[in-house]
Amino acid sequence: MECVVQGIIETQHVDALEVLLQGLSGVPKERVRVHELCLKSGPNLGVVPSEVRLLCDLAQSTPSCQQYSCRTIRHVGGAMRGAGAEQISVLVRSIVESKASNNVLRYFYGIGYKLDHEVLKGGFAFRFHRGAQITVTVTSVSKMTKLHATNEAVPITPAIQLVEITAPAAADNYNDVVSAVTSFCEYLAPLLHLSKPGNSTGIVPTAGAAAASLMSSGGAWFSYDTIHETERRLMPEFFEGEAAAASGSRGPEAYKYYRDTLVRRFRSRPGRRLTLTEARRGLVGDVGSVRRVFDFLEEWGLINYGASPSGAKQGKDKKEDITAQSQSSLNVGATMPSKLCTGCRTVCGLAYFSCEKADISLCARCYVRANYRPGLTSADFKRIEITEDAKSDWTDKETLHLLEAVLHYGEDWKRVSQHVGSRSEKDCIARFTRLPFGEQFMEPKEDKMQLENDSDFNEESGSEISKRLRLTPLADASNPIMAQVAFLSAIVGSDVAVAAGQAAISAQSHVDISGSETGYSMNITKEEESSCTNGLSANDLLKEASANAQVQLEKEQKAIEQSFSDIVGVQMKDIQDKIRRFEQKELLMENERKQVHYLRELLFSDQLAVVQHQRRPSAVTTESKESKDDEKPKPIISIS
Amino acid sequence: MKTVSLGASRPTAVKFRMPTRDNLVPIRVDVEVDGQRYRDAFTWNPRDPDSEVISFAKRTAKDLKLPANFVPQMLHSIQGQLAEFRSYEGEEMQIREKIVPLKIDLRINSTIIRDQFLWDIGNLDSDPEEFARTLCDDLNITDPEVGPAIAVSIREQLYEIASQSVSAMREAKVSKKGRRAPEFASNSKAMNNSLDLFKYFGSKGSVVRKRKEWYLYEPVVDVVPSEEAGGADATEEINSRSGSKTITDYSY
Repeated sequence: MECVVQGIIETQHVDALEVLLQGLSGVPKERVRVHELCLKSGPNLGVVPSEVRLLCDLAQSTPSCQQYSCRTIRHVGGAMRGAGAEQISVLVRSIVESKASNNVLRYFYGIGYKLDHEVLKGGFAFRFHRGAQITVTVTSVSKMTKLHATNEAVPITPAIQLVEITAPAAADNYNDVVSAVTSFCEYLAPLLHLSKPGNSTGIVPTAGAAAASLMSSGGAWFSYDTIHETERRLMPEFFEGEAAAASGSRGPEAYKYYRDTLVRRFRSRPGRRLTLTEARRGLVGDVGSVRRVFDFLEEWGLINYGASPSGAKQGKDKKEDITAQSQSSLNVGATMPSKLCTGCRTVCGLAYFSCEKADISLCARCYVRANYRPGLTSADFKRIEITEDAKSDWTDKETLHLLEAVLHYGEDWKRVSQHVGSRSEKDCIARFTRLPFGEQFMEPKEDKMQLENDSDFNEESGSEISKRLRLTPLADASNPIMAQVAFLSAIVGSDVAVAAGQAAISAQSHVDISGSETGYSMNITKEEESSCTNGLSANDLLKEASANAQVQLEKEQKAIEQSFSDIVGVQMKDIQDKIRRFEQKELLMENERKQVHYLRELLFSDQLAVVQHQRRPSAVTTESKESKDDEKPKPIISIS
Repeated sequence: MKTVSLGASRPTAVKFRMPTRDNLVPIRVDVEVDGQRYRDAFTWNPRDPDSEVISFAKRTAKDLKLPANFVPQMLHSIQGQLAEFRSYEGEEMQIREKIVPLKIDLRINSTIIRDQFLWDIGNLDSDPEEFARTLCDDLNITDPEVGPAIAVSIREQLYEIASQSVSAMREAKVSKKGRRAPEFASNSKAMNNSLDLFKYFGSKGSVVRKRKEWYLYEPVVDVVPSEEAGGADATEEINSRSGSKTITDYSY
């Protein structure tokens, strides 16, 4: 019989494992190169399928044995069964070893075995005694492209290597051997992923989940069908005492229900972090138990593996490296606003301690209690303060739109969100209530007027916090400095910003470009700036800055004057146009008047003709009438 | 299952607890800070230490991305309800087989569920969680949040009845009627909504409901389209779990 514990290890960590084994065992490593042929029995050989593994030790073969004249046959039996088998954590199986000649393959073919697969296993092994005769073999498995062609082997899983810890045992001492192997495996547990062979690893629906379960330490034992001993051990509330027999909310059924639901839920969206609140809202049961199961699963990597910023269980630093890598490769979408301590899994308070070497973050309590791995010292930890991050990624443009919309539409959030564009109503509401200068909108700003004559950037930003059209400075977010200043002034409030602006103005105006000594305010700024100068003296910097400022000032003034003259010119043009139009109209009117006059005269002459016809008999009177009419320059005609 | 007994059985006085197998408290939280509203309902085990409450509140706030000033109010609310529960714990209450109608009228996300059923509050082995689970399974409700809401709703109703029983006991002790048989006293108080099994099932003694009453006891599940949830009260709707429950008085 032999006790076997199998596990896998990432290739990059094999060196670490080697060093560890070297230290633990104290023996030199041995090269291992084994050609393994796995034969499976055909149906005519009996009801129970059996498996024979032929191992040829290529490392030890002398050149004369190239023809496989010497082989070791290992008949691997099934795992031990019985009440005791469930209690122990390693696999105990029967083994029969014997030597055979190179005809053995043909022999097996003759009795009905067929070659299932052959692999080449290469690596190293350590044989030592530690409670039992333990052999640790680390091999990478390769398949052969052609039958029996050991020279051309292609690794099946280049990134993963197989680790086997075996120890021969007899019927009377297997318990001791098992405990020896188990205790030895505790040393290796942080580096490897050990499993109890024989347990299926469960169904993994997606590639992402497969990777996650492969890389997580718990993934190896997890199975939807059974409850593993680890779970029983670590979650006693469901399995011990009165709960063991209970059904429903306590007891193994409840545990299984929580566990299966949580794992399924996570695996359906493997990249996304499953939060406790979301999980417990979907689970019928009291939240305390759900939380404990959730934490347990998260610690063992069955949940939120690769979707969480803090690593897995604290002692397993290697897994944390994997987490860091997988996180960077998986490109987590959800943001983690606050820090979770790796040790006690509570939210860290104001500050946390992070260790670069092992990528662990501990809260203050764990740090003080030295709740970290033996390999680290307190000096490795760095204190990092937690600041309240801005929870929204609202750009200034969006904020501006939001404010405008609110001013225009008031509380009509539907229209506000339309105006903002890419934000939902809820986001708009949330953002609006969180704006730091939200209250300042209610206060009118009169003091800004006195600063407007100075055309300095600081001035404008300082006075921008007020209603209505004064929002336009915020719109100038394309200029990064402006945006920065706008943000700063928004944070500190209008009064402080105004004071700062004034101080800056006065400071700049004190600078003498000619190079003479400046006032006391300069000394202060000089001290501030001396810390960040790189070669230039503070004075020079200031001079430069003030010269720039003055140039800008002049430019601004010129621009203003220019615009004034433009305005005036435009007005003049306007007036001229109007005058011209009036003149045209007058002309038209004049023409019309003349026409009317002419028509009037025509009419008069017609009337005259009529009257003449009427007064033919009296020729004298008409003549007198004519003369009379001629005298009148303007006959009054009433035509109606 | 207990056999149906005709007439009230002898009541036993028992230390106050939830008349279910697991002594879990239903907690409802409704906190509003800065215009943001958080409404939630869940079950809590009163044996969990108080430090759990704090870490739970913080964790929930973190998961839901609520600002930190939610936490003290949440804490206050949860602890207050727990304290109220614990204040009852020293008292005694009457336990006897009594059938009360419970009602569920909930809207969770886009699922509406309405149901009513009879529940024996004297059965200390009853399990609202199991009931909720089987109900959701049988009705093929896909939204996983419906189950817990049903369980909490049932628990709340049971809690109310149980606390009424405690206060009735208290009053009975104080008042003169306490000298008489306690059975009589409890009958006269606010326990009117229990059913007398004998009357209910009629002289025929059949357990099967009359056909014309079937429609009353059928669960109704509706899925409404989610467009109702958007609108001016977007914040409220998304964060809220609306649950209205009534215990009606049936007069037969």
